[in-house]
Amino acid sequence: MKSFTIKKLYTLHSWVGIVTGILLFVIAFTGAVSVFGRPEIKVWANPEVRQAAEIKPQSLEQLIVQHVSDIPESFREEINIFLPRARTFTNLTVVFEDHDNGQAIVKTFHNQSLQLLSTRTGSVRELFETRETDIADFIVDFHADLHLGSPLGLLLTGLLGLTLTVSIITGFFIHRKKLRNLFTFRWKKSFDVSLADFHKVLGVWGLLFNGVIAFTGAFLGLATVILIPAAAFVTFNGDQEKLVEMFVTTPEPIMANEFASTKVAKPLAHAQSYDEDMRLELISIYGFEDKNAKVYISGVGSDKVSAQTLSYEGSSGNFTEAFGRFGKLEGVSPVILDLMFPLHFGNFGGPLVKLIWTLLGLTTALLPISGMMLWLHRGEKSSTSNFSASTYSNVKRLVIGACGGVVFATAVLFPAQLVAWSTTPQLSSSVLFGIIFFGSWLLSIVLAFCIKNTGLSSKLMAYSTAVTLLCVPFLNVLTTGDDIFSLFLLKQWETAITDLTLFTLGVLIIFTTKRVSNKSSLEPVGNDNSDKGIGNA
Amino acid sequence: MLDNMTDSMTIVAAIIMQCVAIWVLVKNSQAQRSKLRWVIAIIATVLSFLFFSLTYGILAGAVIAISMLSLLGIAFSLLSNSLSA
Amino acid sequence: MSSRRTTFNHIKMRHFAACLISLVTVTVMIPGMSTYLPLSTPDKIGLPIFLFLFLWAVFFIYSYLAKNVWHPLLVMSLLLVSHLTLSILALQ
Repeated sequence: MKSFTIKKLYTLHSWVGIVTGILLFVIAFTGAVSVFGRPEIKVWANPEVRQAAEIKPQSLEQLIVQHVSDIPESFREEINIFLPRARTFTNLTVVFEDHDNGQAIVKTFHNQSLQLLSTRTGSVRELFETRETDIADFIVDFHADLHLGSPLGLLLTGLLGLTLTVSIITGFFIHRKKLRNLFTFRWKKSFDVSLADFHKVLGVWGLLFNGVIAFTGAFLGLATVILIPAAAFVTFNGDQEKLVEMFVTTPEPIMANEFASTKVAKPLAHAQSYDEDMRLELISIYGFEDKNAKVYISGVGSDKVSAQTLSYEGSSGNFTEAFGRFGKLEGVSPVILDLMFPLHFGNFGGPLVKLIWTLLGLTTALLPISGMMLWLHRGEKSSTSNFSASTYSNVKRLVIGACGGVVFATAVLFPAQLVAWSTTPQLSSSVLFGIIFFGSWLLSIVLAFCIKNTGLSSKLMAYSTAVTLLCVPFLNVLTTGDDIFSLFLLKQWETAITDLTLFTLGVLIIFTTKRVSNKSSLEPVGNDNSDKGIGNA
Repeated sequence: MLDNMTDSMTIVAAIIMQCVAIWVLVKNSQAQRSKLRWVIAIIATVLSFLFFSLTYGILAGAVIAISMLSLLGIAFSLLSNSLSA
Repeated sequence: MSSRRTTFNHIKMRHFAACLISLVTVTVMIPGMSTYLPLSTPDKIGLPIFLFLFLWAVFFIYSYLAKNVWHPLLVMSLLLVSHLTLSILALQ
């Protein structure tokens, strides 16, 4: 490739990185945390459901039959049973939907005793939007749309997936000695050489992962905002619902209007033994107590990677088939669509895959930050800089404040969750988390601009984050009475491991901050220009 | 696919294979390159994929093997250099 | 910004082509492509959606790399007009 083209690609790579870097860090970091959001952090955040509960199929069937008799017949059209501690809901939740009037009844039950805890009525959207949120919902929703909603938030995160693709492609072409970059990390050289090596090691090794995350992230962000409306424009005359219906592989049956009891226990018992690795999330029943009723049970974590749906005849409870969410449709697109979700969420292979996704997600977050720091460092030292020293200084403060701030703000949410759970605050949980999260973030940015020494502000932010994380297990003991040792003994794995991880992270942050600040203080005065990077492009 | 104990042991074996593959590649990048090391790296990578596939199935096994390799690659690159420095 | 000025000419036009025209073009191409792709209905809808992401990246990079800024603008305009016409014809 011509050197002038390489220079153009360098410039493009650096400018795309600088413009989108902070936002990319924010999205990637919260994404890495979100991998364990549901159900692990969600279970940790709700002490009343920390103890695992196994719901017996027969008890569930009795429960549904009992409660169906209390509600109008129109609400039997669709019944969705969200199994506890699986995804969105911590308690066993049953949603009875009346499609004609767009109304729903949501009943929540105690996981062990199956006693009715609450009943809410309203439109499906309204009920979903007004549900009680916790730290897991807050972080996952922030990662999805930055709490800006649709279309603005989704458009932003979707476009960020596109710009990440551009960064990957340009980065691939400008770093020609990829094999050498795989193992080159000159720790003892100057700060910018170490940083450049670090950036390349993360970029080259993470190439495939970042590519997949960019592609799936862009799709998930833009699907409802641009892609589906555009696709429905010609094929379905703009009717998006018809397009979505075409891709739905769990159709509602045509009612026979003939009574037949609907089996729930038999399908559930079959699903529980169908694939031991599969984590069941949802049971959908269409046409309850109709002869043609259908029961679908879906879950994640099977060998097929994609989420699987098991189909049953409602009246007999007989298993008919298993398929991916879109797998029954012909063509390549349904296969890609089926893989899109698990490859983005990392929810297809248990805790090990989640751990890999979180760690690789953190490396994705470190890519833009190392690139930006490199650009700033070289710009500050260069005698022919494009910008004034104060511009570089202000950008550096913004990077430290915004990126360090979002880490600190996320850490603060953990103790905030425990305090909110134990004190029943006046504000709704989403407003409270919003104030705490955005307040801490804003405070970090302001501090980064107020403290003259950027090294000091970085250290302050790192130590504040570390101390906050170290406090969490102790605060957990104070507010809920659960300590790490008893949590392990009681096999409350999600809670025990969350506490332990947060504590370990606190220790690691202190250790790394000390090591990095020692290295910075020993930095040689000379400048090693042997490796020119994006800053010099 | 396998029982829990065998599952865990197979995963550990797969991770060890990947560590071997990357360590050999690290050596190849630091010292004079040798064909034997390349062969060992390829065999170890294939074995790790097989082990992962035994536990998670072929498709999931392949995805996990590639992502695990990326992660271990980053860890080895950073640690081997910074610890030896 | 001097570096960018020397690297890229007509920088404002390139920004316009890369950020706006490319996005409009690939969006219009989604329904347009579904009119002529000889595939099953799910693929006719799905593949243009998946290609959207790659095509945008290609157009974005091409807008900056092209020697003459009019080249990407011309290519994208042609694709935009042709796919828009195909979509309108299909609707009629």
